[in-house]
Amino acid sequence: MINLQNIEKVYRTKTIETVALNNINLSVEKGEFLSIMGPSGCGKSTLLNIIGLLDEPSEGQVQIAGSDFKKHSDKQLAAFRNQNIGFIFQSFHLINDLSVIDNVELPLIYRKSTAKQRRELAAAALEKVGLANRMKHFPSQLSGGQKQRVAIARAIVGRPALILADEPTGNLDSVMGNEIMDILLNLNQQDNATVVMVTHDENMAKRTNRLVRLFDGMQVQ
Amino acid sequence: MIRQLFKLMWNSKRNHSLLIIEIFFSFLVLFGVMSFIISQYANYVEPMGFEGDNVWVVWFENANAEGGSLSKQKENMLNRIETFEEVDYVTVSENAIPFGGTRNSQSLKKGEVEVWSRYFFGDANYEEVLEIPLTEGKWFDKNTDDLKYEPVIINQRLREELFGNETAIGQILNPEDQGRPKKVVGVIGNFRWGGDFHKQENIYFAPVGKDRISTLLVKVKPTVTAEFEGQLSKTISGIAKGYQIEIERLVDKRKTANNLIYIPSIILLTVCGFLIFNVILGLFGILWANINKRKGEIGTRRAMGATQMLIAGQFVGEVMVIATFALILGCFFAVQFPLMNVFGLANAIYIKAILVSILVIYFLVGICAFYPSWQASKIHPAIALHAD
Ligand SMILES: Nc1ncnc2c1ncn2[C@@H]1O[C@H](COP(=O)(O)OP(=O)(O)O)[C@@H](O)[C@H]1O
Ligand SMILES: [Mg+2]
Repeated sequence: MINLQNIEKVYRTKTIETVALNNINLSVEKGEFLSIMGPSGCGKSTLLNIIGLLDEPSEGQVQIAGSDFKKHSDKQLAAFRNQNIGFIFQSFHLINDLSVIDNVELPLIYRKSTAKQRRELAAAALEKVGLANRMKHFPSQLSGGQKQRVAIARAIVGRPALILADEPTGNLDSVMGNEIMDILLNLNQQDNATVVMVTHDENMAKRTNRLVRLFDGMQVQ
Repeated sequence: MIRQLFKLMWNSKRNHSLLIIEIFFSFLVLFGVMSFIISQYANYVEPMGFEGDNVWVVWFENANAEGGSLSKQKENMLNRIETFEEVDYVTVSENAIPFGGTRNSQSLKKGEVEVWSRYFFGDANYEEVLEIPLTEGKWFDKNTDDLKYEPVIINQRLREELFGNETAIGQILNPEDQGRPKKVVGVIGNFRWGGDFHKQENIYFAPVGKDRISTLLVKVKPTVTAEFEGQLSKTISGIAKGYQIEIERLVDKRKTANNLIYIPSIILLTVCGFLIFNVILGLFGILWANINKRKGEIGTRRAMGATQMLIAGQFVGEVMVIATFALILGCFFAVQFPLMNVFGLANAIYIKAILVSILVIYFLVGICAFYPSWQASKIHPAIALHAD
């Protein structure tokens, strides 16, 4: 599913050069649940962004779902993300002025679909995360755990093969965190989604298939 | 996409209420200014109905003279003026001085129909001096003189209001009048005496009294020089002893009359321009702030599959939707003007003014939304997400 070779990412400004990732080689099989751990600033988000085609490596090759990514246009990358990847963020990134169901529909408005299809798919996704009764609510009326469940529904509404989660439980207490983790495991086991999750929590990481540790941009485990 | 855009902006309308109100007021002001300018323009493109470029006005001034004291010299004076090679025609007029005549109105009755009309007095030469084309009948002359009836020339607008499709020539007006009732002898097209922006109105001409001579209109050859003006003035003074002669050119009077519209138009447009410029600056500021606050959303949308184009479209679209809300509100008020017929302008003018104002507002709003939105679209998605 994912194949990274000799990935290097360097951020350069006039005065500073930050090596965010150094010689990363990683491959993730289809259906695998991988967690990434490491101290703050070690390059976890950078790695996830590269896998999610939101950022380009300075060096190395990225292969996702059998496609190479060199010289792809903005349009091609956007379409690929839309079809194949679902993102979940630590701070949810819901749009406050849209209702829960409209938030969940967001990825679908960037592909060909009818209003009816969008409604149905979004309702099904909310059902899956246990929020079928909150469709007309607005994000401000939800708890943190519920917001993250909306974000998960949004990530899976387009049926992507790959889910990328950047500290999805980082802003939640352990009860809510576990609920989120259950949902992700469920998606991995029942729907055979490939999941890559960045986390700070050893307990969460233990529940996944495999753990990769980063330190200072390098893979240490 | 469009649906979600509307939903998003509808849900957040309270946050944008200030902007909506600003655009709403800009629209109303623009609508007012446009109604004025379009109505003036609609007048401007109509034919004037006469040609006054080489016509001079001769005024007689003498505070001590009794009215009519010039009548003895009238014949002599007109003959003398006509002998000048530089002069084509001369006419005596009471009040029919284009670009500033006096305003007299009278009601005209034809059976049940009663219509108000402005009227002017001229003589047989008036038509020649001002080159007024007749569409029916003829101008009054010796043959139209009739002891029983006062011959009148009416304009097309008055003709339609009085007679509709009936023939106009030979019709008698105001039969119960004490003096002579009027008889229509000719029809002219327009006579927009007040200037290029003067609206069409009902007008009729009647013959000036035989002895009266208060103003002359002199049509001169296009080639005449300024020296001739002195010569003419001297000649007339020689005949009209004790009178002060003043000669004025119709072209100058026309300019003065037109400036009465040009100057307020420019002032209105300037004020309106400043107002809208302010709104645009405000809009610009709001957009920048908005985009900086919504970097996380930009990153998220990119992650979900939005292209750069769609991000730019999102922000431009949002502003367009806000403008649409303001314009819907504005149109609701603007359409009251034609519905209630407030200023007596034609409905078509209000409708054009609404359409032009809508286009101008969308255009300006689109232009000023474009740059910030384009910048927003260029924010790298990883950086947009990192910012939060
Ligand atoms: N856009 C950027 N420009 C410059 N440096 C960056 C940028 N993004 C991340 N970095 C740097 O790269 C390193 C890794 O960042 P990140 O991947 O966000 O770490 P983590 O997610 O593990 O906390 C950090 O030192 C960070 O400061
Ligand atoms: Mg991070």
